[in-house]
Amino acid sequence: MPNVGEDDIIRLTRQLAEYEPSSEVTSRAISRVKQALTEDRCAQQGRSQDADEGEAQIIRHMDSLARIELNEKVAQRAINRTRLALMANGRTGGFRLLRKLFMRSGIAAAILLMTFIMYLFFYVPSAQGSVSLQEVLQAVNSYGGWICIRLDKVQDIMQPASGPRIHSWVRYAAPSEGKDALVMQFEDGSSKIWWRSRIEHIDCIYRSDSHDMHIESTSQDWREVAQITFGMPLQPNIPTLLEMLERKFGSNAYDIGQTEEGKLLRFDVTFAERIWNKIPLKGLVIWANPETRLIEKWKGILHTGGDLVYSFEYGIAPLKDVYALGVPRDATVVDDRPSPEVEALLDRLDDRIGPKEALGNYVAIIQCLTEDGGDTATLSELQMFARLDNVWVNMNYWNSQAMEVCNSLKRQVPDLVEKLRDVRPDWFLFYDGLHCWQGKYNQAERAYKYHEEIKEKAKQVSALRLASLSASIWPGRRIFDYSHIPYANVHLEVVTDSSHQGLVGLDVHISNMQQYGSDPQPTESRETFWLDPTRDDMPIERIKQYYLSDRILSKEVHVRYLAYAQLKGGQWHPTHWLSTTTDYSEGKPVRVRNEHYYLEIIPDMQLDPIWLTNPVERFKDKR
Amino acid sequence: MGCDLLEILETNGPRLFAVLARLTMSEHVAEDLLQDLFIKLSKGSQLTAAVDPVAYTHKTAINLALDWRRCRKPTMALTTTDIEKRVGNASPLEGLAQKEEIQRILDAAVSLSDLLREAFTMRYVEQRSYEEIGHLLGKTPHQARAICAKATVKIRAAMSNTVSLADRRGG
Repeated sequence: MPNVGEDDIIRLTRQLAEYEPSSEVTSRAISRVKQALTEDRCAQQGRSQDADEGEAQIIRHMDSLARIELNEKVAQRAINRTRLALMANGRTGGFRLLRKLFMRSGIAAAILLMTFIMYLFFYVPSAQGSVSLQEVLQAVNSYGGWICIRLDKVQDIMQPASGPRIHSWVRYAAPSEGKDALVMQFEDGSSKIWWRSRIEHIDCIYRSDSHDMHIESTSQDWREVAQITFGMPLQPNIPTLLEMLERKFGSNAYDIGQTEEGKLLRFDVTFAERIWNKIPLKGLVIWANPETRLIEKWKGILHTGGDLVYSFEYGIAPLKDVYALGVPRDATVVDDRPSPEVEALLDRLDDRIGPKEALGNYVAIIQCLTEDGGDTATLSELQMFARLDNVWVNMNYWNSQAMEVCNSLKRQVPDLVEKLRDVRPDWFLFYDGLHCWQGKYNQAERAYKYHEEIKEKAKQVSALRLASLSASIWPGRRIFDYSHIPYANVHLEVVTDSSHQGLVGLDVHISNMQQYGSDPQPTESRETFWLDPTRDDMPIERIKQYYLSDRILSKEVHVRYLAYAQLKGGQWHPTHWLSTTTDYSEGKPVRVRNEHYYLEIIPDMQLDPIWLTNPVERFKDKR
Repeated sequence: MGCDLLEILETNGPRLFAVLARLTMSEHVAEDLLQDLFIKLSKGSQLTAAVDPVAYTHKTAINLALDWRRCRKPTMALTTTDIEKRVGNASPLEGLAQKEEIQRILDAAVSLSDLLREAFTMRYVEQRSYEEIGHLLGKTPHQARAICAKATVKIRAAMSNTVSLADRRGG
């Protein structure tokens, strides 16, 4: 660049200052800018108009959706069905389904939770987990002496909803002897002591506040039933907790990690996040001695914060009996074990149920019609049973499709069976003589989320005893479905009554049921079955009453059997019964619901073989 | 199970059934979901803890129905149901397009946050006032209005990423 002097700079800037653009150029430039601005504004406006129009269209479409008139009959049916499901608590009609027990909401949830926590440390995981952990847990379960297990701090999750809080919790167990005990001290100074001997088949429950000790029978039969019903380990390691989680939630329900911590082995069991809302724990940590393979400490990590930490002590002095736990020798002993008369009646009734039933081969349907407040009743549930020698079918329907196709066909088994063939059951159990399957359909997820093959013979038999047609008719030991509530007392008695001449009464009194949760729950129930011994112990009447604390009546279920029939072989069975459920509030009736049950049995009816296939497979492509 | 749940069913059952039916566009599905809803509520403790159990029930119903939409098989979107037959009085072709538009709107609502989907459903599917929505959601009417508007904008934005049946057919 040539050298520029100060004079040049002054001259050039003066020329620049004197420059005047032509009007044509100026005008063109301004015009261009104006055009650009206009285009931009229009574009913006257009976008805004499009958006407004799009949102208006959304609103218009939704308006049309909102204005659709719905079918009032379907709506009323939906409400009736929902009411029925909600009030299933205490239902005593023909349907005593597994799902109903789960629907016992507060109580069932509390039982599940408490059972879960009580037995958590006694499981043996399946082979899918770490072999070392399996060995550790098996070592505990086969330990030859007595073990003391102390809970570090009793968290809120284990506290009763009302009454004094638990101050300390200590469990004693001799796994190889089949003995188990629990001592709970409460903050008010009272205590509860529970003792179980599986060899003697007894449970003892001592309460210091009443200074009495109840002795009860622990019949293996109803424990198996309850085990299947609740899917929970009622005895150490059978079935295992992790097996249960696998069964219910799939094989990836948890992960096991193994490390070393000091001189101990450490196992971290982490539950999959997807099941966190179904169980109270996020995971477990187990510390074990690598030499003895025995657990030293066990920790459950709660969702609610805090941990349940159990410490294990081995080789403590053997406990001879319940008095060694501190039960006073002068405590009043109440023997609630069934009398020989009760046992004989229960034996007779059990022989009428399940594999021993005398109904022959048949196809049968129970229809439940719920009165809807007027003169009409709505079909709300169907249960289909079939038996062909050693093959059993039980399909339960409460979905709308089943109600739709069957509502116009009343009590005609062949037509109903034909209509139901292509409808997926909401719950099923069937047994082909070798294998037994059960499953439950999840409406929200449109799939059988819970289904399994029941492999053990004993459980198969129990399942049939629980889910057979005969179990819907006759009571047996399965009626104890409440009695495994921790620390409840059950008393049975054979009774007579001048107003029930010629009939045999079986009275079942369950008391001291623990309350959990915030809703008031029954603490006591009394149920009486009236049976006709001259007609195959036909049920004639049944009354069950639930009481809140202070003996306040909260619900009554009254079943009247209205019609009967005899099969060719002479076997009696009911064909129509009416169940009236009355809810009470402060001792006064506030709601009454009537349900009619109709049973029709067709002996030796041929059944399409498709019924003997697994519904999970049969309906997997149908939603 | 407390009696409150039964009372909620008695007093709000028809309205809950209606919102379930409209969101799933199937009365049969709504019938099943109504039962699921109350069983779910009876099992959990949240209802007891809720400040307004009725509002909680309605919100749970909305989320249950929209979750059902998310889980259902795609082929179900075009299944003819009773409720769909009654949508509008348009010609069959227009009716089909309208049906699909409604399905797309509802499917888009699935992707919204709980608050937005609840507000949107209450306002445009249940036709509630902003005062009522505000009460149910624990907001002021003004906030409810803003939330509904935001939900609509988000649904439109979600839908703009998809191609409507009419567009695929060339207009």
